Amino acid sequence: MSTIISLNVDADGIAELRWDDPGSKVNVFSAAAIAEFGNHVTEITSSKRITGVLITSGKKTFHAGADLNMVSGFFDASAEALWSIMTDVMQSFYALETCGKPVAAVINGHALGGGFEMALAAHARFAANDPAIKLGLPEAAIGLMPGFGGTQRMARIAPYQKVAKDILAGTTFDPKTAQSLGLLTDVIPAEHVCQAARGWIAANRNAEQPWMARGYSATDDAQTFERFFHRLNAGLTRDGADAKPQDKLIAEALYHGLQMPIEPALRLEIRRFIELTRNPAAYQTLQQSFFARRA
Amino acid sequence: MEYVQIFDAVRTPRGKGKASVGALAEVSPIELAAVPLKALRKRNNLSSSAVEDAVLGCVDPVQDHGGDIARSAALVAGFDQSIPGVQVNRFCASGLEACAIAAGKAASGEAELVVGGGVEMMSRVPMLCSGMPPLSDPGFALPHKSVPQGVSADLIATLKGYSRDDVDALAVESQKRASAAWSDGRFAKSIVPVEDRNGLTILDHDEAIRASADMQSLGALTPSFEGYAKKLGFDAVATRKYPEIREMRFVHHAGNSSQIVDGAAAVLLGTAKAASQRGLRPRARIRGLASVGSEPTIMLTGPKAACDKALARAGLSYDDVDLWELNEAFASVVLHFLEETGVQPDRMNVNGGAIAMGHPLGATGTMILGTLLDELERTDRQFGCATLCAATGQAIAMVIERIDGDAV
Repeated sequence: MSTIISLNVDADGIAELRWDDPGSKVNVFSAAAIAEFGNHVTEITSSKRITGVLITSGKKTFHAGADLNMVSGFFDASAEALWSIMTDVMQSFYALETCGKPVAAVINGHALGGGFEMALAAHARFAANDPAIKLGLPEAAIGLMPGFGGTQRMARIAPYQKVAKDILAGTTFDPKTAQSLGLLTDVIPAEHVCQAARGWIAANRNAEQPWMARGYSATDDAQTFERFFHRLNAGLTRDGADAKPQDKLIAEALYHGLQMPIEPALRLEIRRFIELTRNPAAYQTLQQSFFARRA
Repeated sequence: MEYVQIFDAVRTPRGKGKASVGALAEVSPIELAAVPLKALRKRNNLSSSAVEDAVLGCVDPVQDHGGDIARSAALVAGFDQSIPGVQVNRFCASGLEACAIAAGKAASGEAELVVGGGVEMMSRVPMLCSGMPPLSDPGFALPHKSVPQGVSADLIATLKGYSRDDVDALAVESQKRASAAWSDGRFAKSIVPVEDRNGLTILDHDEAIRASADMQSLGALTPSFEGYAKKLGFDAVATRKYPEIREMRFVHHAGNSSQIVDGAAAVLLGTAKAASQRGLRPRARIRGLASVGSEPTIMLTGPKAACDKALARAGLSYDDVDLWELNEAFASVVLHFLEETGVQPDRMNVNGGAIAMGHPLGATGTMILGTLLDELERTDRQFGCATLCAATGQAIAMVIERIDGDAV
């Protein structure tokens, strides 16, 4: 059986979680990849030998996110089956970010959708200084929404006021822009990215996500937060939310999710994601974008 | 005047009120409030405009509890846009006060069919979020000798000489009764599981019950209000008001006080005319109702005065009442009521209370009314009384009489 993701531990205890799907030009989260990823995370959390983790890619790109064939199938899957798949990923990402060992993503190329969501579950993200690299959550642009924690982690790492509209629009960023939003730890020449990530791991043995800290709040004062959403909601309707079911669901995930700790927030995002896959209009939009892209 | 009738009562399960662990924490308050409203419509085959108002208790009506949550919840529940909603607050009595106001609307002729209910998502909008000027405004706090509620509960215990064992024993009994009631399916009639919009179950049981609680495990808990009271001086405020006690004894802790939870509930009530027009079966009639004020420092001793008044209106005595529901805000509140009234413990909170299942502030009054009605029916008894104490020295009581389905 071919391996999609390998896990190799070096003499310093640094594990390299390397995505290199032999059957595909790009790395994607397929059912098989999700299972492999979960097994590796279990190994990472339980192994005493592992003291830090690098997430890398053997492809030209870092990660293309969820396999769109799999996502197409989500629309026919039962809510129960989908809940099981999505919470598997949720638990793997959450276990990784709370494993007590520093985790850094080495972003050598495009990191999109679920691939970027995986990188957001790392404690640090280092990207190559190449303006052609695209980073972000483009799901909404094809009528979908993030479901691997993207709405929650992105709007916690970067100020929600700045990224909410990007998540809703499915905007992607070049590395410098992503860095200016706070989404990347550093942007450096391609040949130094891996070394920088290793250096960061050595210097940050007690890394944890900011939202795991006591007293953390993802929102600013209640009035500013509420007013932001007054304006956002009106703008979404004005700009055609009635025809874009993902708009309301993403906005809800942000509005409610940011008011609660990460775990219920991640469950909430999954419920909104499943809700979107119950919507025939969303399926149509996905198929149109999917085939348009392939044509 | 004709008695207002109760047709149905539903509630959500109660989820732990801490967002990191509570199952309901991910639900929006509006949607949680809508769960029982929707259930009432469905179970009673009501058209979307059959109900004429939705009165919901909510104690901290700010942030996502704010903006008159009753109106939003009614719309989310699929009520017609012509059906209004109003949010009311009488602290812990709110859920029963909402039913009392709803009953008043029916009795006065304002409406034929009304919903009374309540909601509180303490995981989202924590207690005291809407402010507590009785404690913060010096112009009120000093002359009235205001103390936090937990200190009032300990003040009752001190004055009445309730020991730590006394209050813990009541808490153990509450846990036992609640878990036995669940095992026996006694809440099945009223519980509406909370599901997400995909039909996946989020919570179908009361999450906070600790069936294994015993005297030993409760005995290990540290009093909750002692350090705080002594540090800030509330023990001295209490003894200034009650000089006879000299020193406060602190016996309440997390295990013998009501638990912080999320939940919502609703009751459908109205006139006999509404029942015959819409084919509803009356399950009970409201025989007596009263809200009272009581001494605000000790704060939690009002239920007897409320019950005296409600029973007098019903023309009944304490002995006539078959079953009692007194909100277990704190163990001493229940012990005090039993001592003052002579009500037998085996008629009081027979299926446990808020110490075991939790106290979603604005919803609890509605929940215990439903529990009372279910138990009157299950045990084929006639009269029940639901009562709650409330902050700043208040209380409410409602006496109901079961209407035997066959007799109608």
